[in-house]
Amino acid sequence: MSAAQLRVPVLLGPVPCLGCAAVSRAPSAAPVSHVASGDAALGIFLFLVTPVGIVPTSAGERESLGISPDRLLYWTRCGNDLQLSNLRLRAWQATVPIFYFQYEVAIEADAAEMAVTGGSCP
Amino acid sequence: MTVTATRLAAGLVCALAAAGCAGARVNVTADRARYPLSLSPAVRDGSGRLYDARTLVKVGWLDVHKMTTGFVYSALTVPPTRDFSDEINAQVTAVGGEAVIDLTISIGGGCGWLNGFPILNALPVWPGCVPVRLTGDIVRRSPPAP
Repeated sequence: MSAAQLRVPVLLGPVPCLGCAAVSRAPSAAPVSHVASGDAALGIFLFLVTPVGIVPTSAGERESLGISPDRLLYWTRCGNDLQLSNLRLRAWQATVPIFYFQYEVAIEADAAEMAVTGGSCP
Repeated sequence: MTVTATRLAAGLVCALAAAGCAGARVNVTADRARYPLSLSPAVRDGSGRLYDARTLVKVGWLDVHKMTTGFVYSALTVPPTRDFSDEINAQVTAVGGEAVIDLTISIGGGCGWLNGFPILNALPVWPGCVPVRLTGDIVRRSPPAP
């Protein structure tokens, strides 16, 4: 997960600015957005019969999960910051030997828009 | 035909009996970080002024990894929360940085074989894992032009 396309700070942790001390920011009145990134796949194992023998392979479908901060929060007002919280990651895989596999890796967080006193725009 | 069907059914039952899953889930924090950490290329100073690539200079590269293990089909993760503050503080301090920008949180490779290990991942005691990686640019403010 990244937010490389956003023009406002997308903060993780308690320090809001350069040279500032850690602060506990008041909860935002604005709604909290759920951002996520990751991917999931499911498929089946295949055993191809070829002139050189049986070659194991797999076929399946892969999909991206969630909506990234870059897409969901692009229009954040430039005088405000975004604060991430409740950041959680998971990796999981299921297999039925010879037949089936499924995996999922995901990164999720809550993002809240925070008003910044004197916050300037680029 | 009946023998073939029986064998197929037996094979299917065996495969399903060996079906399993494994993984882990972890909460990531940086609650004791002493520097601003931004997932975007921007960070502010105390007055609210915005700094980006034009007004910041890169002084180093942040790279922190932590592996977390899970059990019971990922229902139990030890520890459930990982704090990256100490490693971040140490790396930023070491290069004289003031902030981390372009922070990227990712799940590295290396656990697929463990989480998907055939047959053994059917056991609840079989461990799964999630490898967390944080990377970013360590920056400080550019000195004012003379």
